[in-house]
Amino acid sequence: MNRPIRAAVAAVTMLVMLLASAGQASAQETSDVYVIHGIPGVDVDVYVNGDLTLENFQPKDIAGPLTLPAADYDIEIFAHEDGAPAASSERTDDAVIDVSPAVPGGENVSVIAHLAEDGTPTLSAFVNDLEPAGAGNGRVTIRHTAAAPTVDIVAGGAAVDPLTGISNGNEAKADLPADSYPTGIAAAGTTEALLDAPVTVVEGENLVVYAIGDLSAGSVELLTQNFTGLHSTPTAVNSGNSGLRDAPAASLFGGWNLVLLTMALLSLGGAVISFNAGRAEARRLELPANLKR
Amino acid sequence: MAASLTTGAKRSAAVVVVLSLALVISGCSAANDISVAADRALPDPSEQFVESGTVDSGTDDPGGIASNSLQGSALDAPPGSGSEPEPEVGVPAAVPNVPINRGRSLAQATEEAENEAAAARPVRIRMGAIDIDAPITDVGVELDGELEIPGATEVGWYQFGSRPGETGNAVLAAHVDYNGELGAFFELREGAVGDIVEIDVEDGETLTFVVRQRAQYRKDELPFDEIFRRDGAAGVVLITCGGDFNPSVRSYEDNVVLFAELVTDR
Repeated sequence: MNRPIRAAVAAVTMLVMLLASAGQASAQETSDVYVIHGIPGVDVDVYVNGDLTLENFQPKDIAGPLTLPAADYDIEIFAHEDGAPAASSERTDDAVIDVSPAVPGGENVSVIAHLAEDGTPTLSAFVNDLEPAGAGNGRVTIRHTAAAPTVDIVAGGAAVDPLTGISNGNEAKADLPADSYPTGIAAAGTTEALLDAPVTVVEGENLVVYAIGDLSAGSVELLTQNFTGLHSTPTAVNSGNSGLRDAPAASLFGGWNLVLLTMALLSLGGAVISFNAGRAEARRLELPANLKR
Repeated sequence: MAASLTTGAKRSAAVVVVLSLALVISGCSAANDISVAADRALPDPSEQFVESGTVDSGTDDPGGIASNSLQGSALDAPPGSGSEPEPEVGVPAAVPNVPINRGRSLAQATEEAENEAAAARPVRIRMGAIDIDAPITDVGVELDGELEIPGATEVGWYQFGSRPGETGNAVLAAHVDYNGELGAFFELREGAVGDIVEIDVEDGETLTFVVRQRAQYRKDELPFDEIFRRDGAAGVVLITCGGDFNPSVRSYEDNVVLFAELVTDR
């Protein structure tokens, strides 16, 4: 095994170790963990507790979710070989690394092995933002995981705040009204896109975009992960302004209805307050000026 | 072997990253839990029903609430990834098989999003029992988060929710009146359980629904998560304004809502 491959394998190994360190949670919880291979050119086999778990794990592959109960795991990483045995004890080659991390629970994390700015293999872990977006909005998350300098996201000749100053190993995210945007990736502080990266923001989804590869080698690619179900509902339905229908079909405030309504309000008082609190962010965002068409 | 991994300095940096991550993660955990609890704390619409039909219309399914928050927020499982076995909590046994999928490029993600958005949409609604026959247009939300309502004569379909005939409720809203004109849903409150609702879809198909519940809610007590539910039986929800009119703010105090479910055997 040559040196670069060994280093890359090590990075993949470390990201598995990182699963182990992602937060302290109760033993009753599980973690949802995605493992992403963002280093070109190296295939590996990953064994967990002696069993082949990720076979022929290749660049641009996304494994997961690993739903891992909080526990200790024995992790062994080998360079991929065809017909990899089901148990690590049957491997004839040496494990590149053999570790026993403690895996906590309760989170959603993406861990990616990738190239650092200087082109050496490294890894980064990101917490996936699964908070609901406001009604009408989606989220875009840009993760810089390529051998390239710090970047800004640009559109229409201007940077898209706050998607700016993103350095290798870091991310920036924004909630935007659902739409397609003519965005691109530019060197930080410049406005001319080095790479077109038009995004379509879908309501209630977090589109995660990873830049992987090596800019100097012209091998940068954009890899995505997509988290759905982050919807909010509209906050009100106001559909009349003229009073032409000013005669209720039935009164909520007469007789037993009033009693029932009062009881309902009393019993739901606390709940309604938290319900409204949870809804406070459910508003559509105003479009940044340079994204308007 | 370990010496070939990285330099000691890089390792230390990685450890710092890991520790920071742990802190960030524990903060997020608390926020998520609060959000879920708040979403579940819904007012019970049955307290306010003016008229109710059968209860099996699917509108009483609280499951949609959870799936709109954390349960449904897992990564889209690509085709063929199979089901996930439920691991035994706290037991350091074998890890279940992990699906591995080739990540999509940004271009593929964009194409799929645009194909999804291009699916057939509702174009016309008819409700013979109360003389509703109106064109449907796509609507979203206003900047303040309120549902967007089209002009007086059109009905708005909430384009970020379910499509008619698909899982969940398609929400159709229209004015009861607007700037002195009668709105497309002026007669909606006269709708009754058993009334037929026909929806024409862009591809030429007509879907038939039957009204299962009619309800009136004070606007601040509208059961949003039930109306906009995304899972469960296919239904449509027709909604407009009603109740007392408050001339000082030119607004009605209530919403009138018809819940209808898809008729599959016609």
